Formats: sequence, structure tokens, C-alpha cells
Amino acid sequence: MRRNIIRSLSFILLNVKSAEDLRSDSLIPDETSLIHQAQSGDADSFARLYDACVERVYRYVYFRVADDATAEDITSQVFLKAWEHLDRYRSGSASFMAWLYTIARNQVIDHYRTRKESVPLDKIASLPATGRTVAEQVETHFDLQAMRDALQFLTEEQQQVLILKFIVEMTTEEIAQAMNKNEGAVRALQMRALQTLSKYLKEEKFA
Amino acid sequence: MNDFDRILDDCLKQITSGASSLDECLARHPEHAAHLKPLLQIAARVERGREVKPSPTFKSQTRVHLYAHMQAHPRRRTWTFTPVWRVAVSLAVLVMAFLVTGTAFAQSALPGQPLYAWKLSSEKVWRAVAPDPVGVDLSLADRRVDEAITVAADPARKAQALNGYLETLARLKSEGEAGDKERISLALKSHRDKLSAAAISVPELDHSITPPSGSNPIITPVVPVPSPLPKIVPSLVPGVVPSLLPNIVPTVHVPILNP
Repeated sequence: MRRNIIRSLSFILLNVKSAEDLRSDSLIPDETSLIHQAQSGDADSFARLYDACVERVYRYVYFRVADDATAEDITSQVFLKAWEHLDRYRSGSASFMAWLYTIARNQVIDHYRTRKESVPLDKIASLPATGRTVAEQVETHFDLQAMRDALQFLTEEQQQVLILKFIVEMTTEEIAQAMNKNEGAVRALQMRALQTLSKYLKEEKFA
Repeated sequence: MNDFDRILDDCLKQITSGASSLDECLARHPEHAAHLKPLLQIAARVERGREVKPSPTFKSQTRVHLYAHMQAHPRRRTWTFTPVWRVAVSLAVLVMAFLVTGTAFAQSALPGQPLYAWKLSSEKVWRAVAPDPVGVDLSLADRRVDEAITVAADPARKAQALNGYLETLARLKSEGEAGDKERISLALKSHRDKLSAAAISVPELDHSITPPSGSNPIITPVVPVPSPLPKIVPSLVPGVVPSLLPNIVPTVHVPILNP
């Protein structure tokens, strides 16, 4: 009994992170002061924030759009928008990365709305022409493009959760903040997304 | 299902951090192992997406473009609420709210009550900033009269109110201008009537309204009015000597020459 209690306590201590821990997880060194300086008009500080965040923003956009050129275009737009609206960011509400993902998500939505592209079905429909199924591509070569296409089968929120969690490396807590949901809802979305992807890949494999 | 969400999330967290392997997680949850395994495998595959990186050319070009944009569209220095400022402003608002509320409450305080000193202080501020200090003094005198009547049963508190009244009265007498005399007089008469009705006597008030009977009238010394005419009138007529007769029209002595 006593051993069980100790084991449970140590498990909780290992897994529960306080808000302070989450703050210290920030991958941007001296994030708060850089943001304050950038908000005061310091371009150098914002350039340093760009250096720290550009790869993760790019990765996020890459898996939300069909081609690299679009991903690059949207990524640069994200930072221009961020500079324009920097005074709207409040450091206490969410991490800077979470704020950037909100901008990126809106840019991606705008991109699809203005270009009226229907990437998912068109892209998937063209895959058999290569002679390989998505499952084969994922399992044998793990072609990034194939994973990009497979993700299109998920709902927008499921994509968002998987990309933020496994590709951009955000914690469940940060994703919940960024998506304005509670952690339980994020965990549920994550589970359903993985189940859908697993089912899809299995069907493709035996198709 | 909620338990399974949590177990999946915990396993993902532990595998990502390197705290345990996929097999260890499955061993820890044998009842869910069949469902967990394909999901953890898929998650591991999705994680390989981290290998995606923007090209160095794109990164540097975008940085240059961004920098040029920032120079062309400089941000105006906006007032940002740092935590220190937030605390300072919150404190200032609290202090202001406390002062306003306290002052409002203090207005109904009577002599001898804790907030009475606050009331008197607020009245000093009121008088200092008011454009019509005489009007404020009349209002304050009204207040003191009302207070004296309210606390009439307590001699000490009544004395405190009346002292305040006399101070105000002295100010009105010394600072009231000719144009204010009528309204001051009316107010003082009203005060006298109210105090009399409450059987409170303030001799100084009576003296201020009518001179006490039986006393000698005050004789105001007559100030001599300077004559509008000069004492020496210069004469332009040769041989004419002006006389020095103050306060009358100067005359001249003209010698009569016999032909």
C-alpha cells in the first residue's frame, strides 16, 4: 500500500509540470525581454525571434500546404504579420510560439480560401499513378511528402494537434493554449487523429 | 475512453523524452497494449516530420526581406504594460478608489467620529480648488451649523462643531468682498434662526449680524480729502503774486495803477 502511494506520488511529480516549468521550456532564450524590445520597435530583437522560431513555423506550414514554395511564402508572411501586429501579443496569455501558430494557421486558411485549392483528394487521387500506396511510402521510405498527404485525411483540428505535437514539438498544455481548448479535448483529438491515420494506412496497405 | 487518452498521452510523453521505450510502455499497460501499439508506431512515424527544415537560402533571404520591411514600416513605440507597471497602476487605482470611497463616506461624519478629520481635510481641498471660496465657506458654515444641531446633546462635540463654524465665520468676515455682503448676511441670519431654534447661542454670530445694543457707536475718523486745486498757482502776468490760500479758489492781488 505504502509502496503504491510512493510510486503514484513519484509518477505525479515526474509528469506534472507547473506553469513555471512550461515557461522555462521556451526554446527562445530571453524571450520576454526580446518581445518587449521588439514591441518597442527594436528590429534586431525581432530578427532574433525570427531566427529562433522560423524552422518550427516552417515545419508547421509545410505539413499544412501542398508544396514547398507555398510553405516558404506563407512562413515569411507569418513573420511580416507578426511584426505588424506585435502589440496585440500579451506575454502572460500564451507563449510566443503559440501566438505565431495562430497567425500561421490563419494564413494557411486564407491561402486555401483565396486560391480555392482542394489539395487533399486531388493529391491522394494522384498517388496510385506512382505505383505505390501511401502506406507503402510511409512504411518503407517515410516520404515526407506522403506523410504530408496522409495528414490531409484528418480534420483541420486533428492535423493541427498532430503537427503541433509531433512535428513542432509543443506540449499538450501549449497546444491547448494555442487552440483555446482544454487538455482533455486535445488528448481526445490526438487519439482520434492517430486512430484515423492508423486505420487509413492499414487500409492502404491491404488495398 | 478518457483513461485511454491519458495513457496514450503519457506514453507519448515518456517515449518522446526518452524516459521509456515503446515496449516498456506497452508492458506497463498490458490491457491496452493491442490498441496502444499501432498508435504509438504511427506517432513515431509522424515525428520524423521534424527532419523537415527550410533551406538556408530561404531563411537568409526571408531575414533580409523581413529586416527591410521592418525598416520601411517601423513600429511606433507603444506603451506596453510590463508586470511592474501593471502592479503600480493597479495599486494607484486601488489607492484612488480608497480615497474616493473614503471621502464620500467621510462627508456624513459628525464631530467626534473617526472620519471627521478626513471630512475637514477634504473640505480644505475643496475650498483650495473652488473658484468661489466664499460660496464654499457659506456651504461649510451650513454644515457646521447642522453638525452643531445634530450633536447638541454632547457639549464637547457641539463645541467642536461650533469652533469650526467660528473659524468659517472669521474667514467670511475677513475675506468677503463688498459684493458678497448680501449673501453672507442672508446666510448668517439663516444660521442664527436655525441655531436659535435648537437653543444654541453663538454671540459672535449675533455681533456679526447687528451691533450689540448699548455699546458706543464706532466713530470713523474722517480722512481729509486732498484738494483738487494746487496750493500755488503759477502766474503768467508779470507783477502778479499768487496767494497761498488752500482749499479755495486762488485769487490774485492786482495793483491798481492810477493814471
